[in-house]
Amino acid sequence: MTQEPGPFFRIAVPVSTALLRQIIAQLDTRINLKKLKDNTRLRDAGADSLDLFNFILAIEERCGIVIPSEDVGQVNTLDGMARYLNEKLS
Amino acid sequence: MTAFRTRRLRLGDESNLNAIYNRIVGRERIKWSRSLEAMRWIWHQAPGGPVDSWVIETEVDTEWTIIGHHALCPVRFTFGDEDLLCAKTMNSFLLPEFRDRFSYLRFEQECLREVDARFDATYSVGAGSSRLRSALGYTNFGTWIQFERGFQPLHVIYRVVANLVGRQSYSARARLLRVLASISAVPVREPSRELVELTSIDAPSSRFFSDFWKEARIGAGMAPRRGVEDLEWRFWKRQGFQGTTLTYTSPVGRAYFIVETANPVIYSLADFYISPPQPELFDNLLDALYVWCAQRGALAVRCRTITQGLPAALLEVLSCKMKPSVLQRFIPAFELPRRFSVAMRLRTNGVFPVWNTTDLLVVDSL
Repeated sequence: MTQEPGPFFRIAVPVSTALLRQIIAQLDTRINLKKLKDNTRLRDAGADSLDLFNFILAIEERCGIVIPSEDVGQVNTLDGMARYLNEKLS
Repeated sequence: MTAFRTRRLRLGDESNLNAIYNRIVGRERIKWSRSLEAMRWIWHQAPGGPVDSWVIETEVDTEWTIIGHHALCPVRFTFGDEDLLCAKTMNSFLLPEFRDRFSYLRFEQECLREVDARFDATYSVGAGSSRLRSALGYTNFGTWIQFERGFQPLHVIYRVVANLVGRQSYSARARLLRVLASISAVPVREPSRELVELTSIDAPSSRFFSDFWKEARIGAGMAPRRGVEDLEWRFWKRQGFQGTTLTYTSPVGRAYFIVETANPVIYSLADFYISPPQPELFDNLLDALYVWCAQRGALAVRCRTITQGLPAALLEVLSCKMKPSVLQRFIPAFELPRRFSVAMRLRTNGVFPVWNTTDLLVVDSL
């Protein structure tokens, strides 16, 4: 039996910003993906605290890591998140 | 990289936290600000026990500074003959400049985990709080509706005029409203039911309240407890509370209204309860309340409840006797998301009972 690739795929290094965009698109957020450049802060693209929290939870689930509250400043852009994950996962 | 730390609130933090609170809610002027004494009353004197409170700090020039806070304030509830302890979120904030550097929701989740076993339910009041707290297991229970009843045909016009004239001064506005109200005072008719007036000093020792909730709680569903201690904490002994308690007793039922009169022309019905909940009696008692307010020169009385917060028959009476406030259209609707403990969910079989509540639980919302 073949397994359909579900939305909860595991993330492996290297993590790209395109992959992170794909994850955001799967979440029910207020983030405007058209406005979101790799170095745009997620808040500037419409994210509120819940969107940030859900994005972080989705990443944690897919990577099997915990992103502490105080590290949020490093992961508030797609670039930042990709850099952070590539460091943590490699 | 900014350093953050979280910890429980200590006694020495209170003054700092209170100052931040006043700044955030725009009450920096001493006249309108929440005093430290008032804060301590809420934090330490609740009959359900002390508030659980946490702060978020960041390091600025080797000094740790408070930039965020979360608290859960215990509020005693009853569910028939069962006693419950619930908690309301209090003064929750994270300063805007830190909102994309620190995850507030994760912090709140950790706070909740720490005290979860203590409470049967937790709830929150605020605009947009349902969406934010959905990630923590909260579901919206209802939207606050503000009702209003004017006692003079031109009361809305009077208030608009007074607001324009007395924009800078509350006392000038109140003086003008009183003058306008006296010009066209409508003669008030005699009420069919008689209400007994009690001051905040007399009410706690009155016979009425000595056994009221013992009887009323049986038919109340899930409701904030209205024993003497609870009402003292919420109203009668709370610093800054100005109001009158009106009671009614007859063979057909008993009722009380707590009317806040801090604004001398716009009264606020802070709490009421009618046992048993008879629509006709409620209708008559509201008439008696209007007469009482109008006789004291009030232009209007306000009342706030939630869409599912009263038995349907009483809500219908309220909707007929009062109108939704015009102001409500211009401000975001307040929601009341709540979250039940696992034990509570099992006990109620997932059917969440009526939550009999009024304005009283909004105290110090943020």
